[in-house]
Amino acid sequence: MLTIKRPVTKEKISELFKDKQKIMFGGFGGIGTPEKIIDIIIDSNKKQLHLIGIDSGFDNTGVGRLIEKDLVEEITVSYSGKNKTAMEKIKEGVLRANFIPQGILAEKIRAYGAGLLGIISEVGVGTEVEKGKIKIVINDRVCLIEEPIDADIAIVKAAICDKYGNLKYNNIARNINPIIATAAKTVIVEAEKIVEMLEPNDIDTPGVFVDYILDNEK
Amino acid sequence: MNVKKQIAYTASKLIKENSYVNLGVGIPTLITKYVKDKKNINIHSENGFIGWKELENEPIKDLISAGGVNCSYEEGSSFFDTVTSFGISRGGHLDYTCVGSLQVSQYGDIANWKTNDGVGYGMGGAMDIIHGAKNVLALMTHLDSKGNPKIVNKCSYPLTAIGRVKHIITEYCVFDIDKNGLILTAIHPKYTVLEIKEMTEPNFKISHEVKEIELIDE
Repeated sequence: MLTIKRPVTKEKISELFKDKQKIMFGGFGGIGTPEKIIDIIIDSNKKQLHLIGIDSGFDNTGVGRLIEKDLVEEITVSYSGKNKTAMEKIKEGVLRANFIPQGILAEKIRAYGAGLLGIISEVGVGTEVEKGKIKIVINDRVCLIEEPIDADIAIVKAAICDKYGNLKYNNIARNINPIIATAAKTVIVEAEKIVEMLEPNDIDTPGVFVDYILDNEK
Repeated sequence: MNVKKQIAYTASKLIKENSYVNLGVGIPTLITKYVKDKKNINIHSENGFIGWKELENEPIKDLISAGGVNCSYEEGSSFFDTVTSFGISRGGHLDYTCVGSLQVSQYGDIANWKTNDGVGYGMGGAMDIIHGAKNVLALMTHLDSKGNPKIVNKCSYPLTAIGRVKHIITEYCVFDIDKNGLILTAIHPKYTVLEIKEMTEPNFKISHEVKEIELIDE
């Protein structure tokens, strides 16, 4: 018998959030972002959050809603161009933005989740991305050492979750969800469907990474 | 002349059949229209799939293009996570990427993610993709909105990558770039080399088999 991860209420999920937490989120242009968990964060009114993910969503969807409600102090993303509110706040200086090339951001998160102390890459050499980073030369090629990124919480959106916490994603709602699921102290899943058991060969994220599943019923 | 369509059309002629292609937002997206007759053009969308196809019917759940537009997918498509998507690019598995540009230097440096004013929207996936694709095609108008050359000795805008661009396609001409700099390979039938020189900051060589750009008939 394997460990069963029973879905929990939104009240229980709400207790996991604190001010100033680093929160990784799934989603590309808001697709694959767990909107019900975003609702819970908004209701819990936790502030000064640091969000880490691909992009800042749109003004009224995805993590854009947290930014719009002034709950966010810092974002680490690759892109923020579709969210006007976020861009205004960045310009006003009330939202700090760290821009990281999208693939490298994913690798830095993957590195943490996989117990690596960094990755070595040529992306961004000769650009402002190299600022403050250690440069090394491998086979006559100049490279940057990219340090891992971790978080307190990862909020993951899955298509299907089974009672063991195994996950399956749908289409491009997959994006960075399986990566962030490996790199946070606490991993919370919102799934469209919760089933008894997924076929072992069909699983994208094994349940070992999952801590909490949001109950869709309660 | 419809400048954007002409640029996309000219660029489409450089894309060979049986290739894996990433298209950036803006002018490059128009290329899809002109490669329809070519066999086996596999379009990679960095948000996590290969097999982009124009939407024919109702929008598909959890599927948008990297530019955020509803789309469909070809038979034989695959969906994957962000790490895999950018591994495809950085690992050299893409034959072409076509990207919009603010400036390209004579040695193939490219600036395409922000100007010197303001904070910018973030580089998104541009750095990983331009770093890794086998052939980087920079698509842009020959001059900026103030009439300044966009093909320059040295980029003044923040760089996306150094030495990566292999072809520049504008409404007036096509340049190849090798280690010695620019080579004019095709020119609009109504323009002269002298006129191109006036609009281009660096000196360039002229290919001994310079072609006429095929004009778009729309």
